Amino acid sequence: MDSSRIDSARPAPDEARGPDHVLRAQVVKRLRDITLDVDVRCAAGVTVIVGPSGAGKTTLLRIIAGLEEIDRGCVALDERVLDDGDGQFVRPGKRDIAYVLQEYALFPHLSVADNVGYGLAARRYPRSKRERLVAGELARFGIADTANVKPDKLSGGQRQRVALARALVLDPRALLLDEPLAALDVQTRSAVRNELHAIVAQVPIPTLLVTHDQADARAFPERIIVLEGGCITQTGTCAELFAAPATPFVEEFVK
Amino acid sequence: MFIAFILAPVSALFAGSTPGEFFATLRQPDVQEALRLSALTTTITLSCAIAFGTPVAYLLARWSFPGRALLDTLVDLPIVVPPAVAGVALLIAFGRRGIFAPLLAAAGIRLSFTTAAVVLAQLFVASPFYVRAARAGFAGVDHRLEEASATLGAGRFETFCRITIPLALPSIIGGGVLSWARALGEFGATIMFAGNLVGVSQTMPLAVYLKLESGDLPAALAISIVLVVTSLVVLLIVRFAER
Repeated sequence: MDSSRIDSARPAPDEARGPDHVLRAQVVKRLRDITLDVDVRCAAGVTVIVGPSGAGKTTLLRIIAGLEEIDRGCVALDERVLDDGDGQFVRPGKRDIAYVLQEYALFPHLSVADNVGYGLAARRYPRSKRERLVAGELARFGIADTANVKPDKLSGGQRQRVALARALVLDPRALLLDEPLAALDVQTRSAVRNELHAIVAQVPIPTLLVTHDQADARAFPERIIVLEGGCITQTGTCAELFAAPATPFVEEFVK
Repeated sequence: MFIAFILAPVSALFAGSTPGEFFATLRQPDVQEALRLSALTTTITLSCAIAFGTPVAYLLARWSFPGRALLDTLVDLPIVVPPAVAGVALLIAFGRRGIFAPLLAAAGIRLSFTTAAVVLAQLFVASPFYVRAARAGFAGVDHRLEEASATLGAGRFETFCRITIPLALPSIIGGGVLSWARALGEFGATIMFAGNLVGVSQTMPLAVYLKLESGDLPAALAISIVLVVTSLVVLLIVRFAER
């Protein structure tokens, strides 16, 4: 469970990865009770989104992932427009965006290796290349010994690693994490949070992390967006939020 | 009491027949024809139920559209309609003087009192069992797994084949087996719409009826035993699939 294991297992950061990617989501979308109206721009690194339930956090991730369309605005990754609300729409698997859903959504009937290799198979990678990439990814995450195990036999922390491995093996240009730690019990949560921190620190891509847990915001303090009722009510570092909470929700959140 | 009530007639079937009579009956040409015809028609019926019923089951489980509740009820209707009524309805629709008769005649198709009519009668009464079970199976698959599959790059059809079907498979198998068993036992609609012709439309339940009518009790018993044993095996398969 310690993060050092992942640190040492992973090869040095890839110098040839190219320029930093930029994710831009300028979104207007009418939901059942609220209208999601936000403009988010993320460079490499973790941006944490906090907010009360029903604020539109998950919907924002789903929109960026391509699972929902916007009414107006523009979702773009670098120069590539993914959704302009007016006909131009890139479907989920073609966006180079990895989305780790709440509770991870691992495929229960597939082994860990087949879960991690799923996206590669969908991209028609030849079997040998697929197996090599999966083996490398499992080793990198320290879960090589679970390759043939079904997800229901894994611990919460292992499940998170499989979910991240399944997402990152595709070498995405952006990463979306929806409540990645909410499915875990309190005892393991902090250890797994450290692990998550170590992993995303090594992946220099725009990463959006949705949470309702103050400890997650503390763990990724550089950039926090507060989403309430579909609108951004405050942005800043964790320290800035603590020093000057702009709304009653933020005040409650930093308590 | 209740168990005894179920057990008594079933064991009476076995008690009323000797092994000698049983095997002698199974060698009779018309009985063999009935066995063959039942095997053939139920296989075709099940294939059709899967081919046409699976998309409907998926549609009902995953999409909301106007009239869905109505379609849902309509699909279940043959389960509660008496088979004899189903037979009459089929006859009125597709029979020689039925509503669609001119259309079928123009296409050179004659349905009533053919093997095809047997399949249609079975399909009408049995396919809802498959659609019901498959629909429940699809509805039980966590939609987020399909979304995860989509974000990983799989198309809709690939997601359906690699995620949805495997996860709904126990229900699909259970429903398929139940529907097959219902088709095997189909009597009322078949005799109305397809008649009772040896080699053409006389399936096993119809043969039981004919043998009993013509006074050949041992033959009726022998065929009944085959049907009871088959039903028992089917129930066991369904139980096993559900696990």
